[in-house]
Amino acid sequence: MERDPLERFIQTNRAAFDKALPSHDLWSKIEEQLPQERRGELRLLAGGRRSFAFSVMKYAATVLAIVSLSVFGTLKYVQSESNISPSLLAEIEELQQFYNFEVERKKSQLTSFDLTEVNAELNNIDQVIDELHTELEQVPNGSEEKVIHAMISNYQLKVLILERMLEAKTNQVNNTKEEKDEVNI
Amino acid sequence: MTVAANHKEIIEACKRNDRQAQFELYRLYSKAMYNIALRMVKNSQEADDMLQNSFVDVFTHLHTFKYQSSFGAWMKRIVINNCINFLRKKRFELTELQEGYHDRYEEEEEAIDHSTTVEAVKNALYDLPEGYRVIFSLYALEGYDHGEIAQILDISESTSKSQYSRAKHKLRRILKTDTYINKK
Repeated sequence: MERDPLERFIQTNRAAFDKALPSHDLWSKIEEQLPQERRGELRLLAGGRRSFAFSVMKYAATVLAIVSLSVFGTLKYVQSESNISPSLLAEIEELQQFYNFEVERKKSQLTSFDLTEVNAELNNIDQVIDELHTELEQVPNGSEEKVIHAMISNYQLKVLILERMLEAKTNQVNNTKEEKDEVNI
Repeated sequence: MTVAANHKEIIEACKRNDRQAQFELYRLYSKAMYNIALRMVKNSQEADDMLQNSFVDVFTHLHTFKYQSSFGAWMKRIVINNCINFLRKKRFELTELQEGYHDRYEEEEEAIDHSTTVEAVKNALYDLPEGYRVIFSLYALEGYDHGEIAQILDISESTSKSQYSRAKHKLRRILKTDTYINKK
């Protein structure tokens, strides 16, 4: 379709018409209106490096197998006899490695910013996760699922905190750039 | 993994109410959708409200999205419908868009001032009457054709065409005024 000069100008500069940003707290308002998050399933989303899923049923099945076979052993997070299977612990370790990788990846995108407060917050969450590891050894059979869910939530929280900070910083940079643009006009 | 495959994975995870995926989708689309809403309702607080309602609608009805169009096109339509409903509630009556008003302006091929800026066009767009602003935005910026605009606004296609011509004519006139020349 033939376009006149005004339309061509708009099409040529189309991206520059989309510079405004929504409020920083809009996501939290949206989140408040969404149904409770479904727990127990995780997928790697950012970067497309790889993906995996931990399902409640997988954990439940593993725990059930442990109980049935009465497997006990000394494992990384276990100081004494435990009913946690090596396979389950291996998965928890994988979970830990994955999220630690994600946390470090996000941090590497924030190197030019002061992370003191965020690191303090992440350390607090790490302490909670450590306590959950301990709790996992002590909970009655059949209650492991809740502890694992809590661990997953805390790992997710760490990544989410950094993602939000990254988004806030990106918005900040864009706003500064826009202010500069306006001055130049 | 391709970008498209990763994108589909995000959408599928959102369908399972995975919060991390939902945030990722928000991160990917919030800015573009916010700008569409802002052009429609012209007020940043109201545009925020439109975006909030639209994302809640998206996550609530995502199970109905079957990849028959791109996700962006699907969500854009949700944002626009919410904005139109909002404007109608505010007694936006598209008065300039009434049927039988088909005295179409001759298509002008006027060159635009070489010093015209995006900011000047954006400001001029906000100075258009509401009906003109909506129809101009839908056609010139969001890429809908007049058939689609007719469906969105519940008007005839010929009305869409004639009102777009009027909107464009008025926009050019605004851009030529001293105010806009001085702003450059």
